[in-house]
Amino acid sequence: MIDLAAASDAIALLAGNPMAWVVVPIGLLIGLAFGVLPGLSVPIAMAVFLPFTLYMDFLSAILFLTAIFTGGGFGGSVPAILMNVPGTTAAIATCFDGYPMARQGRHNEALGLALAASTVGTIIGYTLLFVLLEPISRLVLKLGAPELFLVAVAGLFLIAALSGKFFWRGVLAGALGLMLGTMGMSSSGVMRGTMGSMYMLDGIEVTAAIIGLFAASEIFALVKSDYIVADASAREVKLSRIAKGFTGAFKHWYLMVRGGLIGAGVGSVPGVGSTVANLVSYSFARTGSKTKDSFGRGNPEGVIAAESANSSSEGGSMVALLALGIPGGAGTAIMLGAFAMHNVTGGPRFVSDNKEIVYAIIGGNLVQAILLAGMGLLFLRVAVTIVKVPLRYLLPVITVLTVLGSYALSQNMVGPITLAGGAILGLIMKHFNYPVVAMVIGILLGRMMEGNLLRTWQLGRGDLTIFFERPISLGLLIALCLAAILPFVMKRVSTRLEQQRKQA
Amino acid sequence: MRQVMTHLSGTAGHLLLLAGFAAYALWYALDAWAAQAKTQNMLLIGPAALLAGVVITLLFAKEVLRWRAGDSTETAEDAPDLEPAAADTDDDTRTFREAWGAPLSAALLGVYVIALPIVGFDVATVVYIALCMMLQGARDWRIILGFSLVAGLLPVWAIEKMLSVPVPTLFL
Repeated sequence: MIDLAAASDAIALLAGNPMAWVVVPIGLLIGLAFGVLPGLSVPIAMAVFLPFTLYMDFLSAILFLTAIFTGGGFGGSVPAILMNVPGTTAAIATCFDGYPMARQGRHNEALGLALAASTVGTIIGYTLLFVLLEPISRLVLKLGAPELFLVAVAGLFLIAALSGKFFWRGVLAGALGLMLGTMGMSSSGVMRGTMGSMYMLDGIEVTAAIIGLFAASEIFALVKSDYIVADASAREVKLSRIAKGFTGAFKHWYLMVRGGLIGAGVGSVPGVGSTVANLVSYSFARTGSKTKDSFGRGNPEGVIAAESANSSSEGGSMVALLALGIPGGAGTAIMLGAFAMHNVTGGPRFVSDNKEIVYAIIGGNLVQAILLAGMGLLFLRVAVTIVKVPLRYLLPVITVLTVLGSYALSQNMVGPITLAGGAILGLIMKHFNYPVVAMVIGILLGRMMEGNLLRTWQLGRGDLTIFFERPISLGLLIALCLAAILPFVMKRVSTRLEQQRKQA
Repeated sequence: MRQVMTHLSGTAGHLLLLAGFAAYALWYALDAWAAQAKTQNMLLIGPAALLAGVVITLLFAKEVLRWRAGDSTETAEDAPDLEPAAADTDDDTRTFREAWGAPLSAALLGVYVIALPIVGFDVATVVYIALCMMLQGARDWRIILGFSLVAGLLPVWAIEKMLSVPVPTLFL
């Protein structure tokens, strides 16, 4: 599986390329800065700096862009933890426990945990890529529409896990989210819910809707407070506490490894990637935890599970890019742009002909992960001071940045209008105990689910029993059924055992 | 006004929200059906709308029964913990913020977004920041003016010049 001669060539290539080591720390810093600023996402950072890669050799260019990717991946967790604003869609699950931790004055610890999990996640993702690039790429090629649809259904399962005692409200929010997500032109070219507007052809602005539903409604609720962290003594920024959180994360090494494996696996599926990976990993961590009830209220395990998965999914998304030449998301799509600028075409041929370059990219990213740990610790010291800023200055600036960021993304007023609509809806839904996250998951998965369900229907010539005819989809279907039934069975068995013990 | 708000934040508000959800689900399902009345177009929208309809009916019935029983306490039960922080403003301001802060902020954001293309991003953003600061208890007009000018104009300028996104403005 590993070509040792190519690996040694890759080391020589990296050692003899000082340019690569100059651009990597710069890329990490750019990624961290763009990730931290709400409204400015990592793909924007990569798009802005893409033209600079024209003046670099191919290896340096890709390492520069992946450094932005890595830095931004972690940077996105900073606003998620400190402000409940997911810097990227991959940081949604980080908000669930990261933000409650910040509200309890444990922001230093939460950020340290996130940094450690991100570093380990990135290392796991790229190590797996190094070892399993060829077999994974063969497997990804075998995934068709039925399998992709079932992967998305797995993401929807999280609604049940996150709705708690308001399960039916979660189901309703999820169903409405799916409908919102499918608005616009369908994959078969039919226009639904566009109200005759050409701006609605692509449907609602997903990023703006998510920021609005998830973050802006939280910002409204904060208007009553003077600081994010109410207790003045808890607002301190301490490197020692960040470092304590960093080292503390390794006590939950199994969560990091599991999150890393889930992230790399799900991340390698084109189109699903990191958005679902962090949610699936969080769901697994919650289901398997002894302190299940404290999830969503500041449980460090939730932060670790989410961050390790979203960081390792970067390595996973590189599988599709390098081995198949398919971009799994916006970030890898921009990297594909860099490939084109250097006259390189990704795909099986690229991997077999240029194995040393592929290994050098992987090796460079492993070093990047370690650099991220060092640079992140120093950068966090500055970023955390945000909790010391009075909310009367902070909130308007965050809102303005998210509104302007959504305008920059959509290049028209659809972004800001969607954001404002989502924010008001989110505020009302939260008031009536509707899990906003269920709607967010529905919106994220709606279009992709519909497209894959339609292709499955076409593949089966109008018959959906095709799900049972393909081995991988049948396996996924069985796994999904087990995941749905097992918690009930386990609960029943444990209740019965408990009763028997009491009777004895 | 206070009474209307109390009703809207309780059972009546929840029923209105459910009615809104039902109206959306029905409109979207009918619009999709009108666009193309074929199975492939309704593969996901049909079941999702049906599921939404069933759950809305159940929740609506449950809420009406609760209303008849005279119990409207459920909604506040799991409200997020958002206790106001240590006070640095006088009591009146805090009370006003507690009561009206969230809905006023939501309304302010709505007006800001509508005003963006009309008065220009620069002016709208500066005014929005100033009003938000006042809503949150800032009273020193020099600080409000200085901060809103810097924090309002800088991001608009950055988006226009650094990201090269054309933005409608009045002065910049």
